[in-house]
Amino acid sequence: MPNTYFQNYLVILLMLGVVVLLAGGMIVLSYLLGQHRPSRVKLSPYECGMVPTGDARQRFSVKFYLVAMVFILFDVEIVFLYPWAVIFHELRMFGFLEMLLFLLLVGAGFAYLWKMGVLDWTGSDTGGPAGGTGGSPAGGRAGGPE
Amino acid sequence: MSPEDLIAVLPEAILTVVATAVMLLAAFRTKGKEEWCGFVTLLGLLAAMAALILQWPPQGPAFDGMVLADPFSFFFHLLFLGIAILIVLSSASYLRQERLAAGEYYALLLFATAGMGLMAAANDLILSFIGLEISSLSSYVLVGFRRRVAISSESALKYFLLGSFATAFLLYGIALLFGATGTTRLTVIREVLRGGLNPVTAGNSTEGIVGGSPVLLPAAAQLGGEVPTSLIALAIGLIFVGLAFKVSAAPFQVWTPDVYQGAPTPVTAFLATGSKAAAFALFLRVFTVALDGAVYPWPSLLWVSAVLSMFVGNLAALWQSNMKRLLAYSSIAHAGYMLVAFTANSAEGVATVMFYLVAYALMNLGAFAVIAHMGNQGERYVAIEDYAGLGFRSPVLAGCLSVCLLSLIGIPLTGGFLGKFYVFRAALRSDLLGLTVLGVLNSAIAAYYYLKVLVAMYMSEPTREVPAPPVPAAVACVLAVCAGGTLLLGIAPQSVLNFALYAAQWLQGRM
Repeated sequence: MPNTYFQNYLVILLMLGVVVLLAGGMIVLSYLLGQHRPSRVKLSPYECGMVPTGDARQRFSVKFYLVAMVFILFDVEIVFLYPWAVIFHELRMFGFLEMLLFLLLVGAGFAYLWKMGVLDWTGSDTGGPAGGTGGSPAGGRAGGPE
Repeated sequence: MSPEDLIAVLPEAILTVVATAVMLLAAFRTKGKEEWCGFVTLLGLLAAMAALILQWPPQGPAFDGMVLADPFSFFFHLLFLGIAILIVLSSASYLRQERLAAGEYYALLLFATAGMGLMAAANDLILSFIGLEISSLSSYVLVGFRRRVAISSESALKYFLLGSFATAFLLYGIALLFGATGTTRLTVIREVLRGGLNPVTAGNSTEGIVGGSPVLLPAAAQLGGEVPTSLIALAIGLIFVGLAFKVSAAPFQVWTPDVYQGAPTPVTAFLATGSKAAAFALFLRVFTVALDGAVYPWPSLLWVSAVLSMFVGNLAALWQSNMKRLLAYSSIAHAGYMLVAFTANSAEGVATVMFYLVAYALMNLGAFAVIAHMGNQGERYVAIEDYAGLGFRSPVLAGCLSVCLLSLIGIPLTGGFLGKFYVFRAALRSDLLGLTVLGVLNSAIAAYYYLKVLVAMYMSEPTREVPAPPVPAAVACVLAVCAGGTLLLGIAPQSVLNFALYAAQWLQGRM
């Protein structure tokens, strides 16, 4: 019996070829057909149309990362909420309670972060209100050497 | 969801709720929160243990066959909860001394325990994976908990990066296994591989992946109902890599010494006992249940890994001067011994691994409790030479450590001896003569480095001043349980062994 299983991947291989051809073709064609008049401004790194200042390689406050993590927390929550909303009626009470439980857990995590001072950007950087000795994740000199 | 379903995951549910409560308690309580968090954590673990009783006698599958609250899962739940209780008891004084945030620590410990419980009870590769990730992610954070200490952060990063890679391997293996058989249910995979169930319709069965029509047609559908052996072999290999990493078996053991050394000592104890046991639970369930009917001879993989682990662990341990590194290499070697029993691929072998895990947990928790206590602030005294003369300065502490070390060597009247004895018996009964000889040889090599510590404790003069603070009551409790348990297992192993055997037979015979 001929192994027909891997022939299925032929389509994918074909698509891969088309993708490479199309994307590569665009770059090559624009390079060949387009005009080249480089100037100082054009060759500088693009930064939202602003004139770049300083070096990007510097230390950031650790709070940025914490905020990013809070963002992910709610991002994931939304990811779960959307499919849940689509089949909300089919899931009935069970689905509702389940999601309520999930939201409660996420809420508990958020309450914890809030209390630990992750969202507190105004205060001194000695830690959040509940920051005991080495207790608060936002405590310490953020980003500085220990 | 029926009440039976809820009972099947009640221990995990309790652990999760208590973990969240501990987290909030730490944030919103201002005074005496360390004591409160520890207390609530202990209560939660005991409550989870009590909830476990509701699972007896064992019931059928829960959540449409996704969770199996069988004797195997029961056994491991008891082990995990016992380990967690001992870890909490030995952590309290350590956390105070190192000034670590107790609330987060205990919450993460509880989350990790919940994940480990799911790993033991899961009958579906997806749920196994989620359980593994819950416990792994918590352990990554716990390893780096002494965040002001460079070595701790370094070990956390190493553990995280390598662990992620291992997880990716595991996940790829799961994907291939699903592709080949059309299901992620362990018991259904077993039927498909044995040829008793058509992989094309496996997804349609009541235990199937979505309950409805399969969304993806398995590879076997295109092969006229035949399961592609090449895919299965590849899947077994990849899953093996992922799980061998978690049990720190060679050649995937490289992370072990660094992580064990850098992690806070109670966390090291948790990794060496809890995480290892959970990974073995998953290992045993996936390989003896799902891959039992696989054409590919996976015991040969285990054979190689077992021999490598024993030699790498024991030979490298000979050169160590740091107690935590020494026990890390010893942990690799012991993973090797357990793999020897696993290679036997029999109900007796499975039961032996389970028994060995209990014995190993007791002796290791005891040894690490002593190391955590001796280490003093900032873990300054963790070299073997710091233990010189300990036998005369604090005879009880040295006595407990001696019992644990003797058990690690495998001296009669200890749990470690009987564990090794059963390992080699199981191997011999499956005609693994070569493996048994290599294992016995390794036990002899291993005696040297454990004896080195014993010699230091009882026969040499201290080279530098090592403070000997009084042992806190909780730590004394842990030491008593560990030393006593080790001796008890060595004298009267029957109850544990019989239960393990019963669980192993249930695991193999059912379905």
